[in-house]
Amino acid sequence: MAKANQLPRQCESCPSLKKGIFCSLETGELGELSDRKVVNSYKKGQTLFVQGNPPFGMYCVSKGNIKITHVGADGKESIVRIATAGDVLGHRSLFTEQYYNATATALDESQVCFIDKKYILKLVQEKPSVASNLLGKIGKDLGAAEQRISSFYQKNVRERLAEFLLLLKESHGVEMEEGIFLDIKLTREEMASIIGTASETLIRFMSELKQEGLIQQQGKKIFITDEQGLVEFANIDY
Amino acid sequence: MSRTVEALPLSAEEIKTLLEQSPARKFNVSETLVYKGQVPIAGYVLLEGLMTISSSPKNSREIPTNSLICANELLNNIALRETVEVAPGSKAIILDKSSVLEMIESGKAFFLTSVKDVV
Repeated sequence: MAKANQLPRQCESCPSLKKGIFCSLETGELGELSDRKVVNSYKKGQTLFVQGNPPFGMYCVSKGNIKITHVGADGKESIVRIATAGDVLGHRSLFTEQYYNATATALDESQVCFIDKKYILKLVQEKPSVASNLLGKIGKDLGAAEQRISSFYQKNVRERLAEFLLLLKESHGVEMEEGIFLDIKLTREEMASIIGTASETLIRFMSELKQEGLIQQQGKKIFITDEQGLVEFANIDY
Repeated sequence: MSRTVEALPLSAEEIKTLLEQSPARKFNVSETLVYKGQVPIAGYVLLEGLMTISSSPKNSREIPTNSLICANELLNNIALRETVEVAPGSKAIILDKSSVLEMIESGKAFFLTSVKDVV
């Protein structure tokens, strides 16, 4: 006999509840949401949705990291952002009625909830807090995108790398003895893609940051050892 | 534990009923709709093109057009034992959970009669 999916399903106990757009819903409403959503695990490399295909719902990241990539007309893929616990994905395509303009791929073992469009639209109409939180998320995404465009024009690669490490510190930083550990696994190619440079250039500037004592690497683990120094290096108002 | 994908053949009338719930959508790019071990996020009716089900690279089969898959598993939160993929250019009806629940409420969920071992 087939058994039901064993993943934890209750929104009330989700580790990302406080970070998500449904945090203001009451217990009963969260219970209904728990029944409506579909929870799945995605292994590294598995896609949630693909650029060019039709959207029919929204994804809510409960655990893990998802990279959002866009393939240009030249066939070159670039990472436009990384979604983590509490983030929502696919929401913009729902409201613009356009096909997905990016692909979402799990960077590591991730747990993601899918909520269909009909239910999301119902919630947005009936619950102002959900609409407000969703607008807030979209606003933050827009701000981050504008900041990124601005960085590409105004900053050199060194500065963009330092800025990116500081952003990772905000989303994935864990205080440890060695410094602030960036708890996310990214390949050099992925990091290079995010800051818009070649892998070789990234490696060179990472070495420079290490020599300056701003970061430390232990194997693939990156630690920020001098945050203020990195802020100055990134040439930002922080 | 999980279930093997079963395709439920549909009549023209049944497809028309489903189209009233959800219009046909075109997949421009190939995509894995459900990975082995996952619960489907929608039911699908292939109208044109190609959808395949596979449990391993050497063991795959095609889903016939005008047949419904994954709706019961979606409703009952049952994981699939196989991977479902769609080829580019395919057209399908995508039946999400809200649509399935609406059809149950209105007594139009004809496909639920095939459920034999709901958990």
